[in-house]
Amino acid sequence: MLEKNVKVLTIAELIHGARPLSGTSFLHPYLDRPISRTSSSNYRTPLGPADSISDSTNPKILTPLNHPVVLIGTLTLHSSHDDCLEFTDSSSEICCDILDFNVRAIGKRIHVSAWNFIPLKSTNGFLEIIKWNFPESTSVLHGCSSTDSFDSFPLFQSSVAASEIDHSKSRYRFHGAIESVSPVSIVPCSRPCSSNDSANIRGFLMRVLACDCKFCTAKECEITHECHSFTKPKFVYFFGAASCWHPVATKLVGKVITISGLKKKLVFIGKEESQLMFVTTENSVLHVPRLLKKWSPPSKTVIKGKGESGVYTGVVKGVYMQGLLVELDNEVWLLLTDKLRTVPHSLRSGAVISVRNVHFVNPRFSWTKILILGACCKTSIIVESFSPLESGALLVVTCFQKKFSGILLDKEILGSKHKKGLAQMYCSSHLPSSVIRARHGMFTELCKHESCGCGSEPYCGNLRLVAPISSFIYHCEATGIKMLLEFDNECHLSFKNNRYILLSSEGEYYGRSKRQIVPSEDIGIVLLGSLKISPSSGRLQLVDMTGTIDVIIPDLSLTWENSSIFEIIDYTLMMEGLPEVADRLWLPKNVSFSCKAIFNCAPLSRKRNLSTFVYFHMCNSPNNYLPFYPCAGWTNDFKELESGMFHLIQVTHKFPLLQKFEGDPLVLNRSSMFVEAIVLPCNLVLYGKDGTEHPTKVLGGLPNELVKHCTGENYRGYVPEKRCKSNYKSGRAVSSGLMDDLAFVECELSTCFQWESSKERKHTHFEMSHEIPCKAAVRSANNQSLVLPAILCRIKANLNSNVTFQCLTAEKILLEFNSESFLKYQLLQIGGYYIFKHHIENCFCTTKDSENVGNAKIPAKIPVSSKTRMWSLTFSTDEVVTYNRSPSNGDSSFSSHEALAVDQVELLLHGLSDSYLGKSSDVHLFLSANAKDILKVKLKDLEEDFIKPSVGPDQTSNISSCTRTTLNVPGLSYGPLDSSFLVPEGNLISLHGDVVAVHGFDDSSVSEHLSGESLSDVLQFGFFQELGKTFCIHVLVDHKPVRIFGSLSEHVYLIGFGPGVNATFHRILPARVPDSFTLLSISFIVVNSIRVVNNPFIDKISNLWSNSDMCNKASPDTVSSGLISELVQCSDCKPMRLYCRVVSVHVLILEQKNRKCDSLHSKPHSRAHLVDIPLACFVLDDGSSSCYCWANAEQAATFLRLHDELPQSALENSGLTLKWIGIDNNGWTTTMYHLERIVKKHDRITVKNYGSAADSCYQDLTVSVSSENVLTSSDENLLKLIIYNACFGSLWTVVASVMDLSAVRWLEKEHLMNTEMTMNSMQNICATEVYHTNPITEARNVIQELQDR
Amino acid sequence: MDHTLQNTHVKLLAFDLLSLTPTPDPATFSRSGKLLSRAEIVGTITSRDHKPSKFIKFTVDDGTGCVPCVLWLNHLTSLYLPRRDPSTVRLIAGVATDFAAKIKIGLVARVRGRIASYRGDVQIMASDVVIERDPNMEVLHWLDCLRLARKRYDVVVNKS
Repeated sequence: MLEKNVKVLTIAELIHGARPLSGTSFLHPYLDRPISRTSSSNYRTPLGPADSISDSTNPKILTPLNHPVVLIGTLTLHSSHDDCLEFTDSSSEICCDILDFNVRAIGKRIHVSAWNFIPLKSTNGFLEIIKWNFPESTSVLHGCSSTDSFDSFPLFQSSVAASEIDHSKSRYRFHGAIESVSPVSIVPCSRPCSSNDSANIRGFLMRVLACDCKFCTAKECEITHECHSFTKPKFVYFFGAASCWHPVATKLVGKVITISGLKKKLVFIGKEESQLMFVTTENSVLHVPRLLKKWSPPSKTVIKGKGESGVYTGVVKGVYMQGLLVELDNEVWLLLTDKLRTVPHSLRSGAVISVRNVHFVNPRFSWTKILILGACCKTSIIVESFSPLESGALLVVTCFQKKFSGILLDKEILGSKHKKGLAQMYCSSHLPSSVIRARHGMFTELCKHESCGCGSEPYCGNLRLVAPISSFIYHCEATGIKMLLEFDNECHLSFKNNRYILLSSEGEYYGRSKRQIVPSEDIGIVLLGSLKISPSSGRLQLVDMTGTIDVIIPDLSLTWENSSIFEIIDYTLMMEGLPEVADRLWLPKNVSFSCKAIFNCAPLSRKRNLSTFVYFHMCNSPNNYLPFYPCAGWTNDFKELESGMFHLIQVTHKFPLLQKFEGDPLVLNRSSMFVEAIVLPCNLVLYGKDGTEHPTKVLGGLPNELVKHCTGENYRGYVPEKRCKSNYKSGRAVSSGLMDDLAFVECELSTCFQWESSKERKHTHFEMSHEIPCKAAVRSANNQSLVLPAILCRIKANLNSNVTFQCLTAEKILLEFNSESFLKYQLLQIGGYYIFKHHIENCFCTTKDSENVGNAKIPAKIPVSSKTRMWSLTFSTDEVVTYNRSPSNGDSSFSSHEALAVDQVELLLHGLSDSYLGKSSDVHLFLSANAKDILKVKLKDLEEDFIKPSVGPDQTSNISSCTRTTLNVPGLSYGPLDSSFLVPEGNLISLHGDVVAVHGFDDSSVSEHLSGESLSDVLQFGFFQELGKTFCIHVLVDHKPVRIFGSLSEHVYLIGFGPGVNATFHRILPARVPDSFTLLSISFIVVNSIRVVNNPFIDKISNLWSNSDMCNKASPDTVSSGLISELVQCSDCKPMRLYCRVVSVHVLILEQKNRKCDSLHSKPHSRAHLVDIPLACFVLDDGSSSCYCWANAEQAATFLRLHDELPQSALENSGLTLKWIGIDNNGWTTTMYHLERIVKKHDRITVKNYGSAADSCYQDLTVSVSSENVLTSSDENLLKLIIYNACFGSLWTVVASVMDLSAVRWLEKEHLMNTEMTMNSMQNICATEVYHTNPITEARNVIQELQDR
Repeated sequence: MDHTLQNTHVKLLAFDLLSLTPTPDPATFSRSGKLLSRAEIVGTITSRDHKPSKFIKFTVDDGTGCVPCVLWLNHLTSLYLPRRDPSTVRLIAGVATDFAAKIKIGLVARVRGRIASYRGDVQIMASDVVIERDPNMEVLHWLDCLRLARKRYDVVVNKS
C-alpha cells in the first residue's frame, strides 16, 4: 500500500513538465531534509572524482522532488527504442530503463518509487526506474508455468495460452547461458506466400552457450538445477514479435535461461556457408530461473589490449558524437561505431555502465595513454546505475565537424549515403584496407565473429591523431611550457652569468626567450586545415574552425588554393617564449593529449608567454593535398599552364607590410603590399603536351584564319602584345606593326612545325636569335611533372632594332597585392622568377604597356588579385636535373653557405638564400648549358642595371629612401658609411646570416639595464604599443658579427624570428659604425631557417664581441692588400688593405654625443665617450698615391689617435701647460679627454683644411664652432695639435673600399653647409677598419706578395 | 713626364733616393720618367747636428745608403712663411722642436719631407719625424719600397 503522503504522478504529467526530475525521495530516510548533492544521487552513487566530470562543464544534478512521488504503471516490451522497455499508465507511455530488472515485471503493474526523468526532444522522454516493486495485490504471479523455480514467458504475448497447442514443429528447446546478443536488425526478405506485404523481418540473434547434457537435450525434460556445462554454442534468432524482447535479452546476457518451443532452421550465410539456428515460433517460451544464475565465460587470458573481448564496467564521463563515443572513467573510450546499435537512453554522463563482449584495444598513441573499447555486434551495454546528472543532451561534435563546420557542410564532412564524407575518406586513405571491413550483415558477423576480424587483432600501429588546432595548441603549450621550464631550471645559473657579464652596457638580451623544437614524430598528431593569411599579423596560418596556428612553409607553391584542405604529417613544432612561474600553475597535471580536450575543444584561457608555430616543407609530404577534397584550382591551373604565353618576372624586393598602429592592432584599413620586380625581356611560350601540336591557345587557328584575324581588332586578342620578330625568316616583308605580328606568328609556327630542326639550329645560333628553345617541367598536384616543349623568346624592344639576347633590357614593376592576395605575396621570394599568363584582358599585360608608352621612370603598378595566376620558375640545364636535393630541415640548415647543386643554383643565387625554390618551383625550365650561360650573364647584367635608382629620393612613396640598391653584397662591403644619423643614406645592401641575439633598448636609459621587454614580445605576441622601441639584432655573417638596428614594427609578420634564425636582411642601410646596419621601413627580413638556440650560442656572440678588436685585426687577412694607386683604377667595390699614413685632414666634424645611439654603436666593453665624429675625411698616402679616406666615428678616433696619450709637448705648445702640468693620471692625458672637454663647450666643432693636402705642415686648418661660446685660442691650438699629431704618426693598416663620388658630394652637402672646399681629383675611399700596422705580419704578407709575382 | 707621384711621399730606399735626377724645377726630381717631390724613408739615425731655433741636420741609414735630412726649426724667424697664421706657425715650430728633441743617434726614424738638393746632393727636407719603436718597421719599409717600386714606380705607363 502506498503511504499517505506519497503522491502519485502520471506519466503524462511528467512529460508535460518536460524538465529533468529525480523522484528519489524514497531512497532517503528523512524526507524533510533538503536534499544535498550526494544524497540526491541514487544509492549506487556513480559520481567519480569531482575533477573528472566537472572540470570542463558544470553538470547539473537532476532536480529532486522533495516529497515522495510514486509512478504506477506497466512495464511492457513494445518500445519504439530497441534498447528500451516501455512504461505505460493510463495517461501515456514512455521509454524506460530499469535497474534490478526482473523479467517477471514485464507486463506487470509496478510501483516505481525512485526514478529519474529525462526529457528528450525526439520522444516523450525517458524514465530511469531506480527502485520499483510489485504492488502487494499483484504479488501472486500469473503466467508462470511448470515449475516454481522458473518463470516462463511466452515470447508472443498475444498467444499466452498457445504454448500447449502445437509442439510438433516447435519442439526444440535448450538450456544455456546467453553469451551475446546482437542489435536488432532488419532482414529484407520476400515472402511470396505471405499475405502480409511487409517483407522485412525485424529480429536479433542471440548466441547461447547451451548445455549438451542428456537432460537438456531431452525434449520435454524438466530443467533441473543440476550442474550443467555450457559449452555448445547455439544461435537463436528472435524475429517478428519476439524481437521486442531485445532489451530483456540484453539484460540477460551472462544469465542462464531456457528457451523452449523453437524451430530448427538452416540459415545460409552468404552463398556457401550455412548455420543451424533456432528460430522463435509463436509457441516459444522463455524460461528464466527465479534465482537468476550468473554465468561467466571461461576466463580468458590477461587482457593485453589487442582486441580481446571482455567486460568493462565504468562511469560514463562523457558522451560525444551523438553517442558514438563514450568516455569511461579516465581515458577509456568506448566506441559505439556499430551502425546497427542504438545507444540506450540511459547512457548518460555519470551513469555506471557495464559493457559486455567489448574489444579491448590499447592503441599506444604517442600523444596519450588511452584504452579503447571497441563495440561490435556482440557487445551489449547494461546500465548498472543511472546518472544523477542532468546530462540529457549529448555533445554532438566530432573532430571534423569542429574543424570544418562553417567551412564545409555537415554532409560533406560526414558523408551521405551515396558519397563518402570527408572524414571517412580521410580515414580510408590512411588505414590499410584490411582494417576497414565491409559490413556483412548481422548474421554473418555474429556467426563468424572470430573470422571477421573481431577476434583477430585489429590493432593498427602508428595511429596518429587528427586534432583540432585549438586542442593542438593547448596541448603543445602545456608540453612546451613544461619543457621550457625544465630547460630553464637546468641552465638558469650559467645563463644569468653570461648575460650580465657580456652585456652590461647594452641592455637586456632577448636570449631569455627560449625555443623548443619538437618533431612531429614525438607529437603524433596530424594537422589538417587550410591556409590563410592572418588579417591581423599578416602571417601565414593553418586554420580550422577551432583555431589557427602560424606556419612556415618555405616551399609553398604559388598555385596553392586558399580553400584547399591539406594534411601535415611531417612537421616541426616550434615553441618559444618566456614561460613564467605563473604558467606553471596553469599547467595541467597530465600534459598528455586528452581526448576530452579534443571533444570539448578547451578554449585557451589566456595568452601564454609562448608562441607556437609549425614549420614544414611541402615536399616532405608528397600527398599533402587531401586527394579526395576537390581542389578546384588545380585542374584549371594545370590546364592554364599547359600552353600559352607567359611573362617572366624576377622579384627584386618585397616591401613589408605597412601598418597603422593607432588603436587596434588589427589593421583594417591596411594599404596594399608591394613587391618590386623586373619584367624580364623575354617571354615563355609553352606548348601543349605534344610538341608538334600547334599552340592553338596562343595563336588561334591555322595560318589562314590568322591572316583573316589580322585584319580585325580581334586579332590582338590572340597574339601576345610582346611580340618578337622573326630573325631567321627575315626575308618576309615586315613593314608595320601588323606585319610584325605576322612575323611573330610565323616565327611561332615555324618553331612548332620544325621543332626539332629549329631547335638544332637555334642551339648554335641563339645568341643571334630571339628565341631559346627549352623544355619546361610543370609540377602538378601530386608532384608529378609534365614536360612540355617551350621557348624563351625576346620581347620586342622597338620595332626597328634587331636586338638579340645579347642586349636585353628589362623594366621594373611594382606588384600590388590586395588583402585577398596576401598569400601570394607571402609566397613570392626575393630573387625568384615567376611567370604570369599572358591575357589580353590581364591588367598585367596592359598596364605594362601603358608604362612603356609613357616611358615613365616610376615603376608600373600592377595589381595582383587572388585570381591572378602566377607560377614560380627555375632554370637548369638539360643535363642536370637536380631534384634529389633533400631540403634540409631547420636543424641542419643552419649555415650561411648551403651546399647547393651548382648547376641549378647559379641562376638563382641573386639574394636567394632559399634553396628550396628549385625543388618547389611550379615550372622548371631546362635549357641547354650554353643557352643557360648566356642567359645567366644577361640576367645578371639586367639585375645590375636595376641596381641603379629607379625611385628618386624626392618621390613621396614609402620607398623614397631607397636610392640605390646593391643586392646581396657578399660579406660586408659597404657603401658610404659616414652618413648622418638622422637621415640615413647609402647603398642598401642585403645581409645573410645567423641571428645570435636580439635585444631592445630603452630610450630613456643608456647605461642601465633595460627592462626585459624582448623582441619576442613584439614579434610574437603583438604588443604593438611597444613598437617605439629600437632593437638590436646581432647577426653572424660569415662568422663575423654585425649588428642591425631598427624598429621591427614593419616586420611583425615574421614568424619565429629570434636568436637561432638564419635570416636574410634585404635592403638594410650600413650605419655609421662599422659592422652596423639600420633596418628601414622598406627593409625586408626573410627567415631562412630556425634552430634551437642555447647558451653556448650566446657565449659565442659574447666572445665575438668582447674580442672584436682581435676579430678586426684578424679578419683583414682575408682582404687582399693593395695600393691606393690600384684602388684608383679598380672599379669594383672590393675592399682592400692598405698601409698608409695620414697626411692631412680634409674635414672633421666633432660633436657632443647626446643620444642613445652612441651606446648602441660603441663596443659593449668600451667606455662611452662623449665625442661623436659624424663626419671625418683624411688624406692618406701610402707611397703610391694619396686619397681621401672617409671614416666613421670610431675609425676617425683611431686616425686622430684620440685614445693615445697626448704628447706633453703638445699640451705645452697649446698653452694649456700650466693648467695641466702635474697631472699624470692616464685617463686625463689621453687626447680624447681633452677633446671631450672642448666639445662639451661647443656642441659642434668643424675643422676644415684649406691648405695643402699633401704636406702635413702646410695644412690650413680653420676651426668653427656652433655654440656661441668663443673658442679659446688654447682650445683651437689644441685641436690643431691633435690634428698635427694625427698626421705625424706611424703606419696604419686600413681596410677600405672605393666610394662613389656622388656619395661624397652628398656627404659634404649634408654636413657642410657651404661647400667652398675644393677637393683634388683624388680617389675617395671609405674605411671599414683602421688599426696600427703590425710590421711582422704585414712584412710577411708583402714578402708573400712579392714572391707570388 | 708623369706627374702622378708629385704629391705623394714616395718610399724609396736610400740608394734609389740618392740617385734621383734633378729637374729644372729645384723642388722636383725625376725617376724613370716620373716626377717626384716628396719622399718617406725609414732608417737608423746615424748622425745628428742640432742648431737650436735654426735646424737640425741628421742622416738616416737604411742599409742601402745614408740620406741626409734637415729639419728646419726657424719657423718663427724665417721669411719663407710670411702668409701663414702666426699661431699656426708657432704650433708648427713647437712641433718641429719636439721632433728635434726626439732625433737621437741609433733610433729608427720615419722621415717624411720634400726632396731637395743641397750642394748637388739629394737630401730630405723633413716635415715630420716619427721614431719607430719596432725595428721590424724598417724591414716592412724595405719590403714596401720593393713592392712600390715594382708595382708603381717602375711601371711605365704607355701614353700613346
